[in-house]
Amino acid sequence: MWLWFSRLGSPKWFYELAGRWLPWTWALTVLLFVAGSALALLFSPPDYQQGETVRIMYLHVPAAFLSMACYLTMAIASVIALVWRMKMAFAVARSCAPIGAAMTALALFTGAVWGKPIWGTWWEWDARLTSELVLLFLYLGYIALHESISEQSQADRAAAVLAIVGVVNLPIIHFSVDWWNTLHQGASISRLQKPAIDASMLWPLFTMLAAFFAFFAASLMSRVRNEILKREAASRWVKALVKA
Amino acid sequence: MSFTSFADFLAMGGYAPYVWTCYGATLLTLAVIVAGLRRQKKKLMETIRLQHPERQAVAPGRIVVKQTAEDS
Amino acid sequence: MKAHRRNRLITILAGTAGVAAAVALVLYALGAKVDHFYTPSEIVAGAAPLERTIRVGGLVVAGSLDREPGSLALRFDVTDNRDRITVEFEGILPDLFREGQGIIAEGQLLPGGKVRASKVLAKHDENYMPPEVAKSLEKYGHPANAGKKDKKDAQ
Repeated sequence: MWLWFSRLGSPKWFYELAGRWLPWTWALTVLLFVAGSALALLFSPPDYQQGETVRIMYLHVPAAFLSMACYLTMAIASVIALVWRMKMAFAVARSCAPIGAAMTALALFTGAVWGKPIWGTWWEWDARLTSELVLLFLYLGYIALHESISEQSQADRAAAVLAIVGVVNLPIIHFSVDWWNTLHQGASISRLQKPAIDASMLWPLFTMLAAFFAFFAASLMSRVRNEILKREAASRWVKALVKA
Repeated sequence: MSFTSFADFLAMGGYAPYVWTCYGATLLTLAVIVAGLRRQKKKLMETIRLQHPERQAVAPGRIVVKQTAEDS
Repeated sequence: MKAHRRNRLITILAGTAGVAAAVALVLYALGAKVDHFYTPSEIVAGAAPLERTIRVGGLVVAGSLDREPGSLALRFDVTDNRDRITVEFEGILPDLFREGQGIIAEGQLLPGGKVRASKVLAKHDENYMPPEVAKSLEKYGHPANAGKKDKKDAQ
């Protein structure tokens, strides 16, 4: 376990391991997206209230879920990085930010397009929507802070503190629908009881969730590899790699 | 199968603009992320190559070391 | 774990807990009133201010929708299963608007106890199912969910 942990701290080791896993992860991503889209668009029924717009759920829910999971990954990596001064963890945290920002933007956009016909509004300053917007600003703030400090280790540390503090927003997003009278409905699948989604709609949703997570894994690994190239540009193995 | 005809499928029960906009936006977001990753990698490789142009000639013995990580 | 690492971890955790506590206090202070949300019973009881923008939530009373011919003006009643109030609105209703549906109306409370809404939004619940399933649930009842919807919307 300890060996594994210290190995994970080695950029070269991670670069090579991720390089071997990447083709498979991308292949799995494509496969899951093809299957998920077929299930979501063709082989699932319309909703009893929302009709065909329910098909937007199969994109909106995974994007929103991932936007939060990605932030949690970023915050945990930041804690590890700060406590153990682990270079690799800083690289992982920095790599999470653009992917998470894109997912948050996608969740907000699909939510707006879904909200227009169903709720009657593109946007409402509702607790769930507003806290998700705050999440987007946290990601953008992290990236801006990191880019504005030119010294690498200082940028890493300052941005890590922001990432950790921002984690406070995650429970707010999750519980906003219970704490306030929101326009957004309550949670459907994270309840402890039976999910409030019929099985015929649950399967497409789970497949899409898996597809989004496979995409997250693949894009994060690629992004971390790039980050390693950037940070280890002066090392012998990177130079040799580039020449090859 | 939820739709009886291709036209039905495209119409999405009258919600075509909303449903297809979302699927299009998702595809676009994923494509932008992937394109960004590829471009970043290409640029990094070029920058590193330009930074150390002389290395190859100075230490040819180093290059013989087997390189396991391949590009993807 | 080495002492300096443990100290760093404790500092991080304590700092985050401090920020969380501060945010929690702010949210608590803003409280439920930040959205100016009232139920029909609260309005009937006189808890809502007049001529200020408020939000009313409840279920649309069956058979209460009354459209004025030749215009977009309409009125309907909302209820929290205890009291009901009338909402006046002029405009296009969301697709999900129907009898028994949970809605949120934003507007001003008039002296007569009616609400003149500038916006009517439909709220849907967290249940998703195909129409056939919904139909059979309606027919045979759904013991697990009995009373749940009403409780939720009447909060």
